[in-house]
Amino acid sequence: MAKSALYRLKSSLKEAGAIGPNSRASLSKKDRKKGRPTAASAKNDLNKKLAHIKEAMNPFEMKVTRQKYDILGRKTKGVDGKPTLSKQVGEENRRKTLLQELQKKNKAGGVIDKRFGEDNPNMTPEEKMLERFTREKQSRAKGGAIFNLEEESDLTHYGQSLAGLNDFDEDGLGYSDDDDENRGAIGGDIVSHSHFGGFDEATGPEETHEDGRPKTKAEVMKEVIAKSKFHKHERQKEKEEIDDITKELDDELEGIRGLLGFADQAAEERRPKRAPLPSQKSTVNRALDRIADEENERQKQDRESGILDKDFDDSYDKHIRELAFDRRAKPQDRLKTEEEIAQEEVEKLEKAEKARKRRMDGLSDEVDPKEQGGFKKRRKATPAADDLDDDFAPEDDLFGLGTGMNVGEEEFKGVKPGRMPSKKRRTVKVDVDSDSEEAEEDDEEGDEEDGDEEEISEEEDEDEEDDEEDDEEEGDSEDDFSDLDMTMERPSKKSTTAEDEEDEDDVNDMSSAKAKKSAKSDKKTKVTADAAAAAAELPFTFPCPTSLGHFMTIIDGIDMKDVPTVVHRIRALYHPKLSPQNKEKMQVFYPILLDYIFQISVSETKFPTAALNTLVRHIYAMTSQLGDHATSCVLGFLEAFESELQMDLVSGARSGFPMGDKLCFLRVLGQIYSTSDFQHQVITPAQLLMSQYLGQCQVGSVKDIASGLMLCNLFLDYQTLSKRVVPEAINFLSSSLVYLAPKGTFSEDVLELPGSFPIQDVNISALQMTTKGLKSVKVERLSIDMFKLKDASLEKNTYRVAAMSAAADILHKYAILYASMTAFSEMFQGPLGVLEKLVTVSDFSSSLKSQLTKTQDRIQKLQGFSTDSRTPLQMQAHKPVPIASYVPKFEEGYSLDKHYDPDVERSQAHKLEVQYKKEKKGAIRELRKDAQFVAREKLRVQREKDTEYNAKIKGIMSGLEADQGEKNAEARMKKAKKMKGKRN
Amino acid sequence: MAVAKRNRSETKVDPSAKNIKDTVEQIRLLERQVAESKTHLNNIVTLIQYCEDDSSKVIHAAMHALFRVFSPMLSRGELQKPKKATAEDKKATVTLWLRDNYVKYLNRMCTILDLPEAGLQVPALKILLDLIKLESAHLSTLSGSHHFANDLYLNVVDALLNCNNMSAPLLDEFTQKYFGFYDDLRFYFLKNAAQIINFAIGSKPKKDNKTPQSKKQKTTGQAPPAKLALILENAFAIMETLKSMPTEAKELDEFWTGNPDPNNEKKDYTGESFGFSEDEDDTVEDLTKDTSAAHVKRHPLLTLFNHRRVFSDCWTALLRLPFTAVIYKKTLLIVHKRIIPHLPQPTVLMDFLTDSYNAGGAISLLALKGLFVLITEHNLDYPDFFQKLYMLFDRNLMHVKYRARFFSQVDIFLSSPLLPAQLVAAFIKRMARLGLSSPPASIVIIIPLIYNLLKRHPTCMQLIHGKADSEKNDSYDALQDDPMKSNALQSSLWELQTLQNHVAPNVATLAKIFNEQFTKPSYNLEDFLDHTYATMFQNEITKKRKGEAAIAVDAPKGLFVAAVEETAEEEGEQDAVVPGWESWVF
Repeated sequence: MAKSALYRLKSSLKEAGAIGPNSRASLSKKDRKKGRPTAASAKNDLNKKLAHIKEAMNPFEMKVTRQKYDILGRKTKGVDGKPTLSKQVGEENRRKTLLQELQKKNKAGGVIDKRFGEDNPNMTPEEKMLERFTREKQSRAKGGAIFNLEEESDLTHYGQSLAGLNDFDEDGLGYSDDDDENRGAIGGDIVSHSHFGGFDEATGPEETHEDGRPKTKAEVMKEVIAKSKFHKHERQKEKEEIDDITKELDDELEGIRGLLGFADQAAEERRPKRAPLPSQKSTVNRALDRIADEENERQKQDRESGILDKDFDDSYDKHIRELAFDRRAKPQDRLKTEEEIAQEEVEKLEKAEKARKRRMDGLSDEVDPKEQGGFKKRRKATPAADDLDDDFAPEDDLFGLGTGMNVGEEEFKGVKPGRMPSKKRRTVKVDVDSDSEEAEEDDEEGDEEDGDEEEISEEEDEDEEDDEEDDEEEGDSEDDFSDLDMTMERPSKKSTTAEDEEDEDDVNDMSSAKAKKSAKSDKKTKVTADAAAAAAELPFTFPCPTSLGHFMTIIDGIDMKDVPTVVHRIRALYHPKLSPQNKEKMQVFYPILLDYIFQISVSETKFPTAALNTLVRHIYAMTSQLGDHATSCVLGFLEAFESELQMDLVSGARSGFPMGDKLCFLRVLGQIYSTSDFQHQVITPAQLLMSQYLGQCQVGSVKDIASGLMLCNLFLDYQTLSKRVVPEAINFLSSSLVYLAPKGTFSEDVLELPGSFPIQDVNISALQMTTKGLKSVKVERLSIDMFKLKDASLEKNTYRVAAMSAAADILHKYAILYASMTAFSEMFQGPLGVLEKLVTVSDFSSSLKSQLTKTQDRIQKLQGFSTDSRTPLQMQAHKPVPIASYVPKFEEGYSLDKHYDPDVERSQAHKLEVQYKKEKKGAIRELRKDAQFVAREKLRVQREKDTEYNAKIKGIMSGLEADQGEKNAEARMKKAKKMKGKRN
Repeated sequence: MAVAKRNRSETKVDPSAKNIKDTVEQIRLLERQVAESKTHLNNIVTLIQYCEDDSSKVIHAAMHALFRVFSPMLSRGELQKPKKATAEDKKATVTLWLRDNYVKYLNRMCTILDLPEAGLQVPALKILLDLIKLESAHLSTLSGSHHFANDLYLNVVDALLNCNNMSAPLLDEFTQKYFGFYDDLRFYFLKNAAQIINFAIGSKPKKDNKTPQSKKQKTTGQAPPAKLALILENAFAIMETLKSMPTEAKELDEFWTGNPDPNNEKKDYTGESFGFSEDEDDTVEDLTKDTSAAHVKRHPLLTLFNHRRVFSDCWTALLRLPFTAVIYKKTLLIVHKRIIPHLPQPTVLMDFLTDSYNAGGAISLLALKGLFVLITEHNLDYPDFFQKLYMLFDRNLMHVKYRARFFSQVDIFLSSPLLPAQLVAAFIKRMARLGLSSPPASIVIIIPLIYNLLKRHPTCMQLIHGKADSEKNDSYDALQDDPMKSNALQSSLWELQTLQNHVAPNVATLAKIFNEQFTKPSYNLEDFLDHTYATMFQNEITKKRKGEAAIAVDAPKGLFVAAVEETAEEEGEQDAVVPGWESWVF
């Protein structure tokens, strides 16, 4: 309801607190005194409020634009405005800015009155002056504070602080070589008096002469000079004193020097250089004592005579300098206790294991990149050092190489070959001096040297890791040597076996050369001695191979067992750290080495286990060195295998099963790469290839089965940690059991077989065991050399029995591996069924039978456990998914004016556009108003001028008129007089 | 006279004495002489003899020469059998003699088709077909209506089917340029082939072949298996290529011997013999009669139905031959696309397909598609279909080449949401079970399929999410043939859980979809069908490598390092056992 204007006024006044119980007037004096909001602030506040009310109350000030239609949710601006107010504000602003500019137009210069309060008409002149005074004070206080160190603001001179002046003096006239306290500078008091020449009234009574007259300027200056001289003298005296004290101290030092434990240079020189032998110790000690005594005596005399021996001083200085330049004892790591070492080892392994596990789960292994990187780096460095076996090479042995070799040739024959226990060599490591043993390991030392080179090169950038590395190396050294032992020992035996198998047909040129060599000698010892001699004659440098052929020519005539050494030396000579080109050379060498391994694993009559054992370590080291390049090399090999397999499968000429070389290669891969990864750049394709071998190749002979079994075993090896399922392996094992079983064990109908493993359409006759004499066939182990034999020669029960036993054995291992799988029983249903059937076959020898029974029992047990422990699946045991909702999105407080554009860019662009339009409009309006203002102003000025002019004209005119009037009057008077005169 | 002429010519010919070039020159000369005057007609005999020469060049020259000799005669009608064969009529004698030699030449040409020399086979075929064209044209002009020299063509077809040395060029030449291109050649080939095969099988000729057969064909009785195999191989090789079977009548517009009647004029075909042997092109009428084509005004060659009919006949005859496994599979591969659509009565294949379906193994898988077409498009009602389908999931299924094709159909068969859950569960369980022994490429098919099935049949979700307290043992009976009795619904898919740990990373990842919420409506199975070991391997190899390959945590001690070393010295290294490799000697 519309209330009356009076009512509204009252209520709003009440609200503002001007009237009513809360008003100031109603407050008691007590309250007013207390912390009530009173005084000026409250008064101001009230004034403001009243002004506000005044404005609000006047309806004529308001202008309301009536809306034609009321639209809900739309806020329109400018419905009610206060045109007068806004006009007034605008006018005011313009007057402040535009008018100023207008007035200054076409004018240059001028004085701006910046005095405080000059423009403020609200201030009385007194207030203005007061404010100005305080401001001046404040600014002065602020400015003085920069120089004011002490709290001496009260010391002023003509209103200026004297403290600042004092400081200035000190800076300008300081004698830099003097102490601050008592420098002989012109005293501050003097300066303050004399330098401020005009301050006569400030001169105190002390400045007057004794006779009472004031001092002349010359006198004053003299005084100043005298004082400064006095101070200078004083300083000199003090310095001398200090020097004396220092000398005294030095003398005293001489006395306690002996206690400090270093003799001076001269005494040192007089001492015997060599450490005395234990037998001489007592005499030497006596002599030393005597010398020391003499020295002391001499020094005492010197001191007493007061002559400071120049020599002595020099020696002291030298000593000090030496001490200064002496290499500081590096803070060494505390020797770790055994527990700590073990702990560290454990931690390291744990870290590696953690990373491996992450990869196994298909996550990236970078748990903590820093840690991980450090670990990787170390790993990368370790094998390189490992492989070069340099850990026990003492540094001064670097040049002992030549002698070692020379001595070795003569003495080596005396040493019993094949007996190079690693223990002995470790004693070599301990006491370096005893080189009686060195002869034994002449070629080893080549390694050492190379190793040194490498170590040096590596030290450069891996300083911080050295300590740890050394530890590691020492830890590993034993293993390395045991390995090397193997490589050194085995070939000697191998050469004899090569001799035995000389008539074997597929001996390649290398091995035949070796065989020839071995054939010459008929005694075992002699053979090995020759081999050793050959090893001793190995050159130490080799060109870096550029192709397999090149490599073959390099190692031509070199015994197989020495090839690792050759590789070793090549690797050391062309270590990537030595020169940037070496990396490329190594990149070339890497596939060559792989190729070589590939080749020797088939070309040799006897599988070169020993050589490969060492070579694989080189390959491991190189793989870690070369990184990505190694990966692409290996993948290239795998791709070649794959295409070969494809061709075999299409043509059907060969079964496609990999033989010794490829198996060997796959084994190498398993050794150098981490096989447990969920996904691995090399291992994953390799495993796919292996499963393709197992799954798609047609079994045609026992050799194929052996190959397949080896693949299964490889898979087993690969999956020891990650325990992933390889259906192909289980399939192959089960089906090969079926193929190998004697005729009639299993029915011809494949559907009758247990389980669900596939059965190929193969010619079983070459695989099936013959029942004849089967009972007497002993279980043997499969040999990797089998792959070199002819198919026909393998069609014997011996091999079949061996294959079956191996299959059962591997199956057993798989069963253990997969024991935790939920579908274990389903997986092993087939194999178990096959085994059950096989166990009933009576023709088998007892050993095979026991093997089969054992396997069957174990699998059965595991199956029992597995079925007992498993529960129905609960795969969907996660939070229920909410049903997807398509209800439109409601905006809280939706407004038509807002834009709810989901496209951020578009909405922003729109916003900008609107803003631009608005600003433009506003600017135009402002300009127009400005123009109006200017016009108005000009008009006003013009009018003012006009009125002024008019007034002036008017004044002039009126003056003139008055004059004229007077003149007229006068003329009239004259006329009248004349008339009068006439009349008269 | 003929004898005399031959004698004279024989004196001239001494092929062994002259080199081949001379002989070829000689042939040219002889040919020219024949062309010049009729007095040299006896040269023909010499030329025919040259056709049996050892040198292929000579044969080549001779047969072309003869073709050039005979072709004008043919078009002039000089080889037309005289109406009244009187011995006295000189002209008739010459004509008869020429006819004899012509027939000899034709026979020789047919035998040339059998030669191992592709360079001769192809021209021989060309010549023969050109002769057919000429002959047909001549006959057509004689009779005033379209005529096809089927008698000669029958011989050609016979030669082709019995060809011991079917070379690729010959096959290509025939199938691409003639058989697949010309409607009449195709038509008559199909007709003749059916006839020849039926005869070879020794079965009674079909009902509609009431007309007297050729003399050879009258002797019934099964041909030796080798011959049957040969015929099968050749016939299939030719039939396999047939992709241009017309589907509409207006597509019949390419004719080797001229359009039978472009103006749609219908004339009675008399049984009159125009040809050179007694039996004549007559089945044309038979067919028209058979199809009650009395009303049909058009030439039978222009009727699509007739084409389909002979096509059907040929295939039914072909299918009766003893199939080899390879051809069987090939047939089944094309049956749904290239055979069934062109059959007038697709149901004739019903028995064949049913038998194939029951055969088991890969054959069954392949038969499924054809059967599917019959079931869906031709209303075949197949009892126990799902049970049989279930039975097809045998141990080798996942390993055969055709599994992708099979699974794409299984996806269709099991797509109905109305199937009983028990049945679907049995299929799921069976697939999962097989998945345990499958190559990764197959597992990759199974998993999305199972997902789709689970999604479609929510009842089956208990296979992967059962009640925790329910029975532990697997209630699924894998040996049960009837999916409804296999009790699969009460089981759990532990197999899939195990597959989540498969060695191939993509398989393992895919298998994990069952752990996630089933938000995806369904997987498109097509995306998963074409994987093989090779493709997966390639994917892995070409994958963009990020970072270096992870190296083994421990440096290898060696390739095969024995665990026990001390015994090595005494007993030799034979006893050194590499841990994990107990069954091996290195």
